[in-house]
Amino acid sequence: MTHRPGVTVVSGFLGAGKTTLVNRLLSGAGARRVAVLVNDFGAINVDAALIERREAGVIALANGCVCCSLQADLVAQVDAIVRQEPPFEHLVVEASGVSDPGQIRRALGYPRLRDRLGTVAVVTVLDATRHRALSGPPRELADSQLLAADLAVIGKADLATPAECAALAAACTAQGIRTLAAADAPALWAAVLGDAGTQVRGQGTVAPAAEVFEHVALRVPGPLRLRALREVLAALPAEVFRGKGFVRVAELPDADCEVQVVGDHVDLRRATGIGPGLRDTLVFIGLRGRVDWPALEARLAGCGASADGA
Amino acid sequence: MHADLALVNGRIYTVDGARPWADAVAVRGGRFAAVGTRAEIAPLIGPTTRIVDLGGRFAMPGLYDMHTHPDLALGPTYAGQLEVPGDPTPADLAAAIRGYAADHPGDGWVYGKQFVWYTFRRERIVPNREWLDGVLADRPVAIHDRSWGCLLVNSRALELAGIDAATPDPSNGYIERDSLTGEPTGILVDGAYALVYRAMPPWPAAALERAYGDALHFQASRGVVGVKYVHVCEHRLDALQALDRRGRLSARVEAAISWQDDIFPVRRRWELMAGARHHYRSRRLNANAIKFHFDGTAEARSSYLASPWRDGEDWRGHLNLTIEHLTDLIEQMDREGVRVIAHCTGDGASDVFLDAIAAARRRGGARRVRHQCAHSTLLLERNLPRFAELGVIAEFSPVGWIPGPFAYARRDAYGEERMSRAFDFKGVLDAGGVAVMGTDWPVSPLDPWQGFEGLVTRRNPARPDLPPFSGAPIPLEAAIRVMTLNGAWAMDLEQEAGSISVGKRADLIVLDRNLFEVDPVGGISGARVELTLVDGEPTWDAAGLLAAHGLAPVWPVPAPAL
Repeated sequence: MTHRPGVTVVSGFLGAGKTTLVNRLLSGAGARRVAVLVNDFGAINVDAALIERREAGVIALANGCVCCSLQADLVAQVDAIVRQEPPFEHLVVEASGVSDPGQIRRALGYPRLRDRLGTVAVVTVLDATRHRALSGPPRELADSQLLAADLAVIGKADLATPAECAALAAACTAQGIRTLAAADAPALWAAVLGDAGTQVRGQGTVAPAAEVFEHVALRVPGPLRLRALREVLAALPAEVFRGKGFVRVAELPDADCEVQVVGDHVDLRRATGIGPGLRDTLVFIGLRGRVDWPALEARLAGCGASADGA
Repeated sequence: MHADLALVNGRIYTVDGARPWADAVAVRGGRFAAVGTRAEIAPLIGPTTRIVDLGGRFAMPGLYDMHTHPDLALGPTYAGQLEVPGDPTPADLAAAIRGYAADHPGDGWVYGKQFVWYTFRRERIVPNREWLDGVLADRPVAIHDRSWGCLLVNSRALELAGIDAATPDPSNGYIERDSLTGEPTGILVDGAYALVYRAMPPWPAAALERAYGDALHFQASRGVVGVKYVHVCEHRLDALQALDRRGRLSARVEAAISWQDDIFPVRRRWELMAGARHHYRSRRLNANAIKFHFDGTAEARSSYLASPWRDGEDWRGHLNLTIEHLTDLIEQMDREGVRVIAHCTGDGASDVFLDAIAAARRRGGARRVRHQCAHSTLLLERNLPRFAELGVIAEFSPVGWIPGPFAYARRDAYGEERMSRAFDFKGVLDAGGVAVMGTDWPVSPLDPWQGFEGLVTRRNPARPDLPPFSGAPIPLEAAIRVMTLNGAWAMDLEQEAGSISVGKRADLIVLDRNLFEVDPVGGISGARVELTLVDGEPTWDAAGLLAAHGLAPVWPVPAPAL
């Protein structure tokens, strides 16, 4: 099956910690071939030994990752990146601190890109030290960026007290935004890509993703009713950050339905192929010990065409 | 026979090489009957001649703005569309839509702005056709989002516009669709709006008349005597004609019929092209031009370039008409005497446009119409002499080269090499071509004096700390000629207007300052227009110069703040 790289749009107000997040994603990329589009080249923390070549606007790394400075025409730039061989596994786009990430998402929805890209998710970084103190237009902008997010991440957590971080996360969750408080690289990649067991390059005493998250595969025999499936996926527990898999839906008799959930973003598509053993299965990542998986499995089973009265 | 009007004791810059300066003019039957010293015009002064003492003021021919869009700038507001300002919640918006529907009964469109994505998200509501159907289902509804990037429509609007799962996406936007079924969600992005606009009724005639009227009023107050309103349809022409019949067409107007339906539909295009346009013809108004977007914009990197936008890529931008379409069109328009105004921002677009004109001329050998290369933002050096050779008008939007965020954004998009040859106004003039300016309002302000000053300074009067922008300035005399006689040439009026010469139409403006005696930075753009005459009649008279003689201007003071 053709691989379509997923896209993470990293949003957040000026100084919220977007570059730190991008650096974490890059340093934790491991064997993934990732393209990163950033506003300010200089702020990206790339180990000089890893740089294979450096040209105007592009840094190519030995592990296959590239780092590009963001151009005015995002669509043309992303279009060029997805045409490259070998293909990139994932794209990270850093939005300007004063931009509306929703516009970036819509720009990436253009037909010439839409079918070449996987799920586009917006991750908004919140400044643990300042977000709640912002007022006036900056606060309105920061709030609108938060409300465009599929997933919020607390940035500068090391500069704030755990209580401050927890209060901010609680405020976001209260608005219905899934929020990751301690966002180390493996946790980020787990939440963004749905991968587990990522190794952290370099030093750091961060907890492995496995300590934060658990993976659960749920059997979901179809065919399901599309509307019911959408309703269940739109109301996943707040502690579930990622989901993916293939199910059968009654409305799509001739193909399977690929499911991708990133934070609050649910993306259902006609599958072009199915990985081994993944049919009728949804794999979820949630906070360890905090999700009632049997209940979720029961709700999904209730989407079945034979199940009545849901 | 004596003159109707004499202006004396002025410092009059005529833009007539035979006599660049004069003290006095005499006007008879709407034309200059004498230009010279007070003594030279004396024989024309009789008992019925109104003699106006200019008190030593500076005067010159009126200005020409060769590219504006008053309808697009003002029409939406004047059309009484739904306006919900700020950040309405979904409930606020729903109430406003229902309220508007109640105030405007019937089955007509509810169209306007605005919705804001995040207020929907806050309430976990997806703005889509289902939501909008829940607000109002039996009438078509279309609401823009705040950034003007999306249009939210209900099912009735989709139905009337004929949009369904099978509708192809336009090249400059897309129909957001359900990822599984392909059914439209009710969100139309960018150019996909046009699919819905097509299904809407035209804006009310009163709104269009008011938009053009307010623009003409403002333009008269800034000394404009000749304009091109590019992109019109039959309804816009009706509005201009209504103003003309009421004596309110205070400038010479060339209206260019829209060749594409990308902004609004032109339902009577073929009748207009076949000759119905002549029903609008008067001394002030003509519709003997067409306009289309040949390429895109720098911001979207859709300008069509002669080389790829970036090294190592093949994206050069986009042309909206095939070369064959353009060549056949120019050949036909040359025959019919219709000017082709082509939006060409990229150097590739203007190159193809000039090639098509040359090819059409080789084929047709018909009369030569002065076609117009609109914007001309980037030109290839080898094309500079071709404007003169082919008799093509090179139109520029000088605000683009006034240093500031707008200009810098353009520079960032083009890159340094291209920017070094962008806005080559002087290059066209030096090669013998005719260059003109257009404000392109609402893209930049309607006041032509900012661009006028930009021709001479390439500086920002509000930001004297910024260095001059790229490109070469031209001397004041050349800039005045561009703003006046070149504009008249671009309207085929250079024998009739554009300079203060005996026999020409008496178009003239009086300023509060002598442009030759001020610091051009801020001194040109800050000039106040005290009197504007068109055909010897005042359209604007801020100082009451003619009012004192019982001649009322077309427009009162103050002008609308646009």
